[in-house]
Amino acid sequence: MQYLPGHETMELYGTILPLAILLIENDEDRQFLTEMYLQYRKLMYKTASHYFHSNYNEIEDAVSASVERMCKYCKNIQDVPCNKRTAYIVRLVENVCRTRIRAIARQRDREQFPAEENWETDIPDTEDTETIVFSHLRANDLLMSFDRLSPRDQELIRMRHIDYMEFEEMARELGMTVCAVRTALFRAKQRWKKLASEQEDVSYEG
Amino acid sequence: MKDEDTGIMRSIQDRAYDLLGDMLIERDVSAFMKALEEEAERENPSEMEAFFARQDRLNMERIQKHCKKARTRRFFKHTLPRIGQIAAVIIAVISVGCGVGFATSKTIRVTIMRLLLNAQKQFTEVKLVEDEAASFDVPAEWRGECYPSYIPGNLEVAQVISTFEDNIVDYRDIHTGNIALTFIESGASTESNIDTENAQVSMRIINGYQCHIVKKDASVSVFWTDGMRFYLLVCEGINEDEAISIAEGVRRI
Repeated sequence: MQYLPGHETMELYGTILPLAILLIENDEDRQFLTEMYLQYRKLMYKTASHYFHSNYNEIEDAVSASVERMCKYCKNIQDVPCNKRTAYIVRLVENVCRTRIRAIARQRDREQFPAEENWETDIPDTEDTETIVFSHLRANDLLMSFDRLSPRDQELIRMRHIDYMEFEEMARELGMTVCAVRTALFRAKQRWKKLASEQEDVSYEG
Repeated sequence: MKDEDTGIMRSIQDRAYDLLGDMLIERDVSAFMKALEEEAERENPSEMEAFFARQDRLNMERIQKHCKKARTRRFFKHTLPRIGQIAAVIIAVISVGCGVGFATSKTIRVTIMRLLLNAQKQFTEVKLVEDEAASFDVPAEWRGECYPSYIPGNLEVAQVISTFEDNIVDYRDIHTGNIALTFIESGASTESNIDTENAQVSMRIINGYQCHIVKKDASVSVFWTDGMRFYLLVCEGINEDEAISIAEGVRRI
């Protein structure tokens, strides 16, 4: 029986192991992110320019921040079905832009969300199912009337139902209490539904 | 109802408005895509192209940097421990496999010096030179103080068992495969039994030590002490003169 001398065996494996380490490289993520960036960069720019118009510095920062966030949530994006990725990217960029706008507003000390007289409002604990479920026509009316809401109301609804932020998170961002955020959001939705009803009446009369 | 991504409970009312939020996003996507299509139809390059000319390299570098960090993190968290485990298994296998290999192949050369006298008219030069004929090999793992310098040519090392107290080497006949010679060096605490029933026992001075020779059938045993260690040589199928030659060849190493 012949044995491979110990030192030669060690030399063999000492060569293979570093090679194995060098060969262990996963470029799938990098390739995916590169493709995503090249595919959606124009849409990211257009979305950012919708918020910042001609302020190219802010647009640059928004796109850069969106790219970083895209890298961070690479796995999530890979799990999103292809036909929904466009909406995901727009949602991501809009979130970045609105976060930046809120930060700018805080820095300038603007009263974006003035305190209202009565925060202790009676928010109904539950609504019946009929008032919760929107019909197709009602949903269209709500969509069409959304732009007629004040920027403040739009921001509240976007934060809650597009960015999926929790009330605590919203309170931190807006510098309000959780109770105040709940009340403000409730009132924003009430105004939205009212506008939608007016929209429905206009459509009916038309 | 639990949100799939966050695991946080959201009411059915929230979920209904979430769907409206999705529709708002879809509306924004349609508006932006339409604006992009209109811009693509224009002949003049837009600010957007200039923007990408500046920003593409930076954003690609961001992606590269992120992936490099993620790869390093993944390497240290998952790959390196796995490589360490594999390396440990390989080293364990090599250690076990090569242990026996070393026992049968590695020896240490013991150099015997002889006195060289160079007589001149007025003085005699005296120096030590290597006696190549007398130099011999000792198994690397032998820990004893002495070892036979002469081994018959038809014998090869079969096994070596060596501790600080007891040291045993077996030699096998290369033709028959049988153990033909055993040399033992033991400490003061060792006890040994030698079969002397119906054996011829004699004594002889070998290398200045009084040695006992026991001869029975085809076996010849020679044992002696140097005052600190006990030495036993057991020969099977080797004649008495050869056994005595082997005993005389035991040298301090």
